[in-house]
Order: sequence, then C-alpha cells, then structure tokens
Amino acid sequence: MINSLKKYYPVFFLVVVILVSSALMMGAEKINRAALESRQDPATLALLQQIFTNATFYTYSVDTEIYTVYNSGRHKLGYAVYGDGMGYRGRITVFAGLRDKETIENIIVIYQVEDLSYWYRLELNNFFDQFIELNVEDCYPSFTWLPGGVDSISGATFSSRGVVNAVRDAILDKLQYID
Amino acid sequence: MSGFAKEFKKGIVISNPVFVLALSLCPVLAVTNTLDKAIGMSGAFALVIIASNLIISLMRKMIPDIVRILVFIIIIATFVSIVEMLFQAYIPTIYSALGIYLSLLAVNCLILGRAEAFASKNKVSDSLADALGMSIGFCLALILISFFRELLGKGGITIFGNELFTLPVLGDHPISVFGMSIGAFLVMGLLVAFFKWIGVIKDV
Repeated sequence: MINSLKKYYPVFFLVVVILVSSALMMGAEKINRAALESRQDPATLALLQQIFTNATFYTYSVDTEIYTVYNSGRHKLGYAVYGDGMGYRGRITVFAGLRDKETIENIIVIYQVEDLSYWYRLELNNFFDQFIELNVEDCYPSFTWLPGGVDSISGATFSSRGVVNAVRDAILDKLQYID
Repeated sequence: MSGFAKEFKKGIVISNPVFVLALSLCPVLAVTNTLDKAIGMSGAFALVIIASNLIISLMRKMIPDIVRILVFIIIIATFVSIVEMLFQAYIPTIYSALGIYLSLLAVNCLILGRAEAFASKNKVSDSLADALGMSIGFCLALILISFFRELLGKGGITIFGNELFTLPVLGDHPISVFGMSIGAFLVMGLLVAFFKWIGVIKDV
C-alpha cells in the first residue's frame, strides 16, 4: 500500500505545485487588476462605453496610441483610436472603435465646429449609423462610380466627408498593430 | 571566507553570468539600448532568481527527481508571471518597454541553470547568496553595457524621462550602430577585453 502511494508521489507533488502556483498567480492577478482599474480615466471609459457598451476596462499603448477595450471578464472587445478630418468649417475629431482588423464597431464624434444646421442633417439622416459594423475596406466617401463606401448626406457633403476622413485617419495607420 | 560571502562574490566577478559565463545574452542584447530598460530587466531578473532559488532550496528534499525540471519550470514561470503582473500594474512604461523579454525570463537559461545546478543541491543561505551574487553580477553587466550603448548610440543619458546629460558632439551626431544589436556585441566584447586587461576577469 505504502509502496503504491510512493509510486504516485511525483504526480501528487506536481499537482500540489501546480495548484499552489495557480493560487499565487490568481492573487497577483487580483492585485494587478485592482491597480490597473484604479488608473482608469472615468471620462475615457465613458467615451469607450459609448462605442463598446460592455466596456469596463481599457489599456492604452503610448507607442501605438491605441486603446484596447475589455469587458468585466477581461475578454477583449476591441480597440479605439482617435482621428482627425477636415469638415466644412474646420477640424472634426472622432473616436473610432474597431472590433478587429476588419470591422468598425462604432464611432463617436469628439469635436466639430460645423454649422449646426448641417450637423443636424447628419444626425437626422442617421449618417453615423453607417459606421456600425462597417467593413474597414468600405470606409471611404461613396462616389457614384464606385460601389460601397459611406454615403454623404446631401447638403452636408463636406461635413460627411470630414467625418469619413477622420475615421480613415484614425484607423488606417493602426491596422498593422491590431490582431 | 564564509560560505555565504564566497557564493555571493562568485556571481559578481569570478562567475559573472554575462561577462564570464556568457549566459542570458538574449535579454542582454535586447534590452540594453537604454538604461531604463536595463534597470527594469535587472530588477525583474533579481526578483525571479532570488524567489525561485529560495523556494527550490527550501523544497529540495521534497522534490522528486523524476519531475524536478518540471517543478523548477513551474516555480520560475510562476514568479515571472507575478513579476510581469506587478510591473504591468505599477511600472507600466517599463513593462511595455521590456515587452516580450520580460515573459522570456521564464525560459532564461541562467535562472533555470542556477535552480538545477545550485539551489536544488545547497542549503537556503547559500542559495540566497548565489541568487544575490548572480543578480548583482547580471545587473552590473546590464547597466554597464546599457550605459555605453545609450551614451554612444544616443549621445546622452536619460533615466526615467530625466535627462542627466548630453555629450557635446555625440548629442547631435550619435553613433546609431550602438543602438542596434550589433552595438551590444561590440560594447560587450570591448568591456570583456577591458576587464581581462585590467585583470578583473581571468578565464574567458
């Protein structure tokens, strides 16, 4: 009996080591999560939650300027990046969310100085909804001779194209850093 | 000389892991282009080797021979993961600068080598002295190499965002080859030659 128990001692020992190691790593992960969550900027998180509704946590890479967004279970929801484009009156800044390398999740406009009447046209005509789940390759201002693209709103063409160009500025250079 | 002092001194000069044993060269070459990264890597290395040597030495009589390498790897990988998570939480700039090389400490031949060759066969105090000596030896080597690489490759020294000084001519015209991996080999070779010349290192 003792001999047969001795035979399994290495396996038993290995299992104990693995369990202790897992427990230690779980403890370290708790500390890590608490520290990282305490550093979250609530304003940025609120913006990210407008793009990814389940977002509870993000990390930011200074080198690539990409926000990586996670849900409460630390599963990656996607990425978010800032970009600028020129509208009719001036700069338009957007915060564009990417689900992955190929799909835009959603966008929000952070800054614009367009005429209100033109801007309302974009909102009333659901212009921004075109970006939801849009394929990255289709993110360009639509032209009559080209299939696909994002349709501009008539009467607010410059503002529409400004938003599309801002999204393109945000995502095109960053795709190489995204999984 | 007591056993503790002997083991401690051994790693710093006589068996310096980088200049004499030429071990762990992957992180040495990769992270010594700036002083910040070298300090970060030295800290991580010291934490992992001290903790793993201590635990392995404490458990040396319990570890079955047949699974000893597996156990060593699990222990080392656990400490590397913990150090990685702590770095990510408290020094994120160093964490992102070190990148994959921090995780690669889990398969660092020096750490595993000290566990197998020393900690698993010696008492706790000697294993601690060995780990401390090796850490200081590794740290000195990394800091020396990175100091010269940053000085020549960037023309000045900056630590954690604070510019300490900039050299007059090199500041404007740095020798960029020292920022590359080949620069690490050059600096390392020159330092080994210098230490051998002044008699600090005897057998290389």
